[in-house]
Amino acid sequence: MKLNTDGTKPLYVQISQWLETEILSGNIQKDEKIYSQYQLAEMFNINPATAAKGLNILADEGILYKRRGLGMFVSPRAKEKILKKRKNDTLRQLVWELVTESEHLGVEEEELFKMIREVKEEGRDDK
Amino acid sequence: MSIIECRDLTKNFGKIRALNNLSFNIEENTITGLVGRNGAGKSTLLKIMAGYLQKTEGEIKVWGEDPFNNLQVSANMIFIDDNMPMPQTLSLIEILEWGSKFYKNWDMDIARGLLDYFSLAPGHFHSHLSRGLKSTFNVIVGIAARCPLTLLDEPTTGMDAAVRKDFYRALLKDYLKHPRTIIVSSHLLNEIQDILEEVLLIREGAKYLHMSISDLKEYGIGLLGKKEILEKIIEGEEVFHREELGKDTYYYVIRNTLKDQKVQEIKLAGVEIKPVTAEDLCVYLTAGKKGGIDSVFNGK
Amino acid sequence: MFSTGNSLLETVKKQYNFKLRLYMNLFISLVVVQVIAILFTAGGTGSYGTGTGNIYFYEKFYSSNIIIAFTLLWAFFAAVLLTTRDYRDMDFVFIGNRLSSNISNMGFLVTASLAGGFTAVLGGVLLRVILYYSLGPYNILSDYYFVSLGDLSRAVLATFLYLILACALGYFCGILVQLSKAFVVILPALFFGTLITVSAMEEAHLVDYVFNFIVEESSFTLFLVKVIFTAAILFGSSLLLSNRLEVRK
Repeated sequence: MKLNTDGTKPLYVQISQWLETEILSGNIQKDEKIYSQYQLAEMFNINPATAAKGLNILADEGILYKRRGLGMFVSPRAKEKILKKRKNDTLRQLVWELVTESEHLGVEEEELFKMIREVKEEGRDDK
Repeated sequence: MSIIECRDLTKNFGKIRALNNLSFNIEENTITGLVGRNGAGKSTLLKIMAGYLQKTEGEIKVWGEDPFNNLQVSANMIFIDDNMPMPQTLSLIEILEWGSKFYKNWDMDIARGLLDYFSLAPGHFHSHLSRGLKSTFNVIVGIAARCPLTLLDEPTTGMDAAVRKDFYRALLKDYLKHPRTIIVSSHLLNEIQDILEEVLLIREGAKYLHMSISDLKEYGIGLLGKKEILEKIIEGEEVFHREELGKDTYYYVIRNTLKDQKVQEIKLAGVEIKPVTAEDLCVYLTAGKKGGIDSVFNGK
Repeated sequence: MFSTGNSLLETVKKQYNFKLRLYMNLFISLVVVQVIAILFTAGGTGSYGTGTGNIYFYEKFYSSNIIIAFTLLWAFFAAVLLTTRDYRDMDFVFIGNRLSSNISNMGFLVTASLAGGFTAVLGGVLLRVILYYSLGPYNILSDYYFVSLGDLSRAVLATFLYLILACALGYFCGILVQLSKAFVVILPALFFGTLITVSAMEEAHLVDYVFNFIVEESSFTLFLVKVIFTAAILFGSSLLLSNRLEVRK
């Protein structure tokens, strides 16, 4: 993965999101040791302190847990927590932006729902 | 632990004040970016840390000692810049070999490896190298010396984009393996920001801000919208930058202290919120004259 | 980690070795200067001719003083050179401070003086050999043509000491110039001014005294002590004066 350095999202947020995606996709299993800040720093060419900040966000949210002297591990309920968080935060934010933009453009509620349904169907067709 | 402690550091060159009451600490094993416009005093500050120049007033301590004319500091420090004097009568490889005799932690394998990677012929002489290659060779010395305090003053001057990228990667990799305190000065924050932990921004010889790079990236926020709406929002806020973008449309950069609630209100009012890159923010913060370059042409 | 116990001696030794390698060209210039001096001298430093009737004398004087004078000049300017920006900057390519840089410079100059002393005296011997083959053995008339090993070694030591003095003086002048460019004018003015005053007044006791203090000393041991003393004062003042110099402005 390439980090987006144009400043739209802080690097440490991108790191934590990349780690979440790795956990969701099953690349890192529960109770498995996650990358250290130094590994992440090397992988993404960033300062280890930035990588540590990304890891700490996940630890604070209980997605990772620390084992003294051993590093950080994936919590047993990590996937659940990530999904819940993404639903609550990310999706909600996107919906909020969607609604705001549609109001700007004067798009009616029904029209918006229709658009959502269309996109979903397109997605189904692709599969 | 703080490796460098500055209190009210002032440096005069004759009547010109190069540094003005600078106070800050640099923590051990961090990479700090020293940022500022040309002439802001970056090189002077680094040379005082290196013990090359003498402070005029105030206090500077490097490992608790005054660095000026200090052998212990010199033995633990390396200062690299693009007009670093290098022996004219020694070949590149000989210079590196002498480096290994002087510095305790010198890594000759890395030095040879980097020399080879950057296609510098070991038998060449420093004075025959182009500007970019000179800089490349100097940073090889800087990395290989593995000094607990590594000062790099505009290290990438003259290097092409590919070499710059490789150099910063090499610096980071070596830092990960052998943590040390690194201070890099540059007026191009973009190219160094990823590997930084801290940023020290100086303006006209004085400290403007000193914070972690992630805080700096969220320090400012850009607002784009209609003039009258914006003017209401920015009331009481710290404004870093103002730009007229079209009829009635303005772009403001203010300090990012807005609460989520207010952000949503602003968005609803039709104002676009844009993140401000650290580089742009530094340009705004260190801008010399209000109104920027345009004011010259507007005949004001 | 910050490492302590970087001793001055260790740094001086490294810088000294570094300088021997770096300034090799100064030794080459020494050889060039001495070869030129020998060429000058081989033509004779003075001549005298007289005759009565059918007999005609023609004397030519040869002396290795010119070789030594040239070597002294070389030592003076080599010392000045070491104090210039480009050379001083070399002390800060790697580890060092002003003290280590000054001491290693002095070490280098002592080495250079020793080399200069040897080669200058051997140059005198070379001159004798050249004369032997160019003039033939029967045309040489001198009490000092044949020199013993003891004389030679005393000559080397004396030349060495004079060279150290020249170096110390050059180094001191160089440091003064580094402190203020005004000395570029002041020092020559002082030098020639004194010369002119001395020749005009014919009794400048002070100058005479300074000159006699070193040059006219007949006791070798006393001469040795005086040279070491004078050189120490000159080097010491250079050291104190340059200790606050900033590098790489």
